[in-house]
Amino acid sequence: MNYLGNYKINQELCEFNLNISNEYSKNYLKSCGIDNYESEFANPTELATLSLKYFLEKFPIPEGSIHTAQEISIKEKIFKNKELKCSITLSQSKEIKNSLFIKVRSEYLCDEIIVGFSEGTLIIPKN
Amino acid sequence: MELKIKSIKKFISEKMVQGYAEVSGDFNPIHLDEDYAKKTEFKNKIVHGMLLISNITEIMAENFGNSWSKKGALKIKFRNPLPVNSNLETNLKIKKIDKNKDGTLYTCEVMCNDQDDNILISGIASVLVEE
Repeated sequence: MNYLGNYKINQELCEFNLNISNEYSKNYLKSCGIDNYESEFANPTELATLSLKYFLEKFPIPEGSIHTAQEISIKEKIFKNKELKCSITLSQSKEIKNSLFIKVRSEYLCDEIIVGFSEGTLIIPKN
Repeated sequence: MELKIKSIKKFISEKMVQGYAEVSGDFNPIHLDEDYAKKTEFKNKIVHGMLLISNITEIMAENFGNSWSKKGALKIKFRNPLPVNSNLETNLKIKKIDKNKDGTLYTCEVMCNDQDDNILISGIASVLVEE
C-alpha cells in the first residue's frame, strides 16, 4: 500500500490541538538562527513547523521523499499560547512514474474560525 | 513606511539542522546521517526545506516587523537542496504595493541561493501592513 493510500482526496487524515507557546517559539527561532525577532503572535513558518511535528508523529514520511513546494498563510493574527485546532487533509494524490505526488493541507482554527492554512507538496517513492 | 531591502546571509550549520530536527520532529536521515546521505543522489546531508524557509520569516520580519506574523503568507517552490554546513543568501524584492481599506498589501519576490548562486527556493511572500 502506498503512503496514505488508505485515504481519499479531501479526507481528513488527523486532527489535533496545538499552541505556539513562548518556549516553543524561542526554540524555533534559536534553531533557525533568528535572534532579532520577537512577537506576541505566531509567525507563519513556526506555525507550519509545529503542525509538521504533530503530523509526522502520526504519519512518518517515507525515506527518499522530496519536499517540492510549500504554501502558508495567516488570515487572522494568532496569539501565542492560544490553543488552536489543526485539521489535516490529503488535498491531492496522484501517481507519476515510480513516485507518488501528494499535497497535504493543514487548516488552523481558533474558536471555530479559520485563522490560517498551510499546504505542503511532496514526492514520495512508491513501494 | 520606509522599507529597507537587504539580503540576509547565513551559514547553516550542523547544529542548526539538529536543532531544527528537534523542533519539527523531522529526523529523516537525509538531514542527519552522513553514512545514509552518502548513498543517496545528494551525496551529502541536506538542510530541511522548512529550515530554509525560516529565512523568509527572518527577512520579512526584518522589513515588515510584526505585520509578518499578523497577516503574512508565502508560496514557494524548493528548487535545489542545500548541503549541511553551507552558506545561504536570502533576498527580497517588492513587486507590488496595493493600498486598500485594511492597509497596504506588499507582494514580494523571495529567493534563497547557495554560495554558488544556485537557486534553492523561489516564490512569493505577501504581507498586509495595517494602517
